[in-house]
Amino acid sequence: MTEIIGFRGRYMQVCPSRSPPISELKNPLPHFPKCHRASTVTSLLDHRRSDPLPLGAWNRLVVDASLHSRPSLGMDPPSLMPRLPEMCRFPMLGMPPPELVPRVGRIGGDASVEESTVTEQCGGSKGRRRRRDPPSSGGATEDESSKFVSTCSGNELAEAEAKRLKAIKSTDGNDNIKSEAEASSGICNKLAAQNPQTTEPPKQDYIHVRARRGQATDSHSLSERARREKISERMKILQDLVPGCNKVIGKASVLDEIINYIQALQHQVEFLSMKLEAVNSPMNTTIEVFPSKDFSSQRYNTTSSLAYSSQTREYEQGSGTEWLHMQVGGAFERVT
Amino acid sequence: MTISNGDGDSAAKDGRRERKRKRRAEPSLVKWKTEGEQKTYSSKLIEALRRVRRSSATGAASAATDHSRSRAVREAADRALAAAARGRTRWSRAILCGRTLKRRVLPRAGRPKPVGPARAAERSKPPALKTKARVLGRLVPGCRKLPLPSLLEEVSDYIAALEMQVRAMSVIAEALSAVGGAPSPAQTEGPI
Repeated sequence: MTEIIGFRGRYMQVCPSRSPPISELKNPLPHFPKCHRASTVTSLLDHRRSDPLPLGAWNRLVVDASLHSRPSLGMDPPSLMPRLPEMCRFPMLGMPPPELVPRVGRIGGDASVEESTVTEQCGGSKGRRRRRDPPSSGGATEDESSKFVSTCSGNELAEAEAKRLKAIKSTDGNDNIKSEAEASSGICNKLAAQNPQTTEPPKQDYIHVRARRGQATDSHSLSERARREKISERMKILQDLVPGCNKVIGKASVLDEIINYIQALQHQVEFLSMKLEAVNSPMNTTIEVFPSKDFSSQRYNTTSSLAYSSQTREYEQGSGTEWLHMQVGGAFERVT
Repeated sequence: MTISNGDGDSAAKDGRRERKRKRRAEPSLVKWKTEGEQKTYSSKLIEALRRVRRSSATGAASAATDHSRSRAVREAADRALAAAARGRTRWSRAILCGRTLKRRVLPRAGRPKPVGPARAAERSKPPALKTKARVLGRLVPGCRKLPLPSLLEEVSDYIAALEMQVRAMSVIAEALSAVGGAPSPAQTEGPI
């Protein structure tokens, strides 16, 4: 768990190792009606020292959520100041927003802190360039959440992606992402309203993902990118599953390896099933037929089991079926 | 706790409302590695083997040919595996309802794409991926016409299931051969 640095009228800073010193943050009260994690909430509440506002719990929730999702958070300069109040305004978690709203307004000046918290939340180790851009202070730092949190940064709103969150949602906690998405979309909306230069307010209906810097932003490429990310995600899972797939690079070779592996597994199943058949049939017939009078069936079964045994002989690697040959041979002699 | 729960609910609802596209949960691959799953599968398989043995012992020669009888164990094993998957994946559903169909329905004679000059010239990189994807789709039962992302999901679950099947079957084969091997020498020499 990342340490929660002093929270005296300031918002909590998570992951101090990576974030800039708190001194930059002037004002307290990071109100983050964001993530909610039960355990973290309680733990946070325990840690809490002083929180004049009931929103403090929200902060903790938010920070903690971000903590859990991505401990490495970076803090951005207080340029995020104007943005946080918007976030707070967004009634994300169903907590009493009306009460919060006025407070949020009051907190408006504390945006710097809030902003940093936002960045913290988004704090991702992906090192998106956004994070460092001064205008886009919201920089998506959190892996996935950062994607849309960065949308909060006004200047870069234009590149909000709609679809990547879907992929993210599968990997990350749903609640987290949803709340963060909501928060971010809410924030982005407000930010757009505030900043005159915001290019495009993200729609509320879509999951917003931030496009990387310098990438196309039309819907086709966005969906294409989301699809490609999904595919690469699944390929990674497959690479872990298939032995020897880590060494090859490239989708085609990985697919080749997968195909070979599946074929090998199917052959193995085939071989094992024949082995099981060999175990099944001759055992059954020879043992059962001994005391019985049904010699004709025994003969028939013996021949068939002989056929099976010859097949298994080809595949047999170990010495396990010696008894089988013996048995079948013995039965054959008896019959003839 | 309450706070988080409440938040979760509302956030979840909001998220769901906001999400345009429904996202089904990925089938977890961990279950195929658990011992419990393997034991379940083993017991199912042993039951199927007993059934096969009984049917072959009672002179079911009229009903089945040698070939189908040789495939009986394999099919029983696959069906047991698909049942263990609880039908949440495509390949398991295809196995469970496809075994009867596959025997009666002839394989499609037409090739998926006729070779023509335009198509022959199209052998560039992306279609190589596509052909591989098609080969993969043919390997996994019931996944022929699946797009790549869902196909990869099915493949990962199928691989995990196959690995479990191999493990369980080797254990059973070894156990049965050990059991069968011990009394068999005595049996063979008895009446003689």
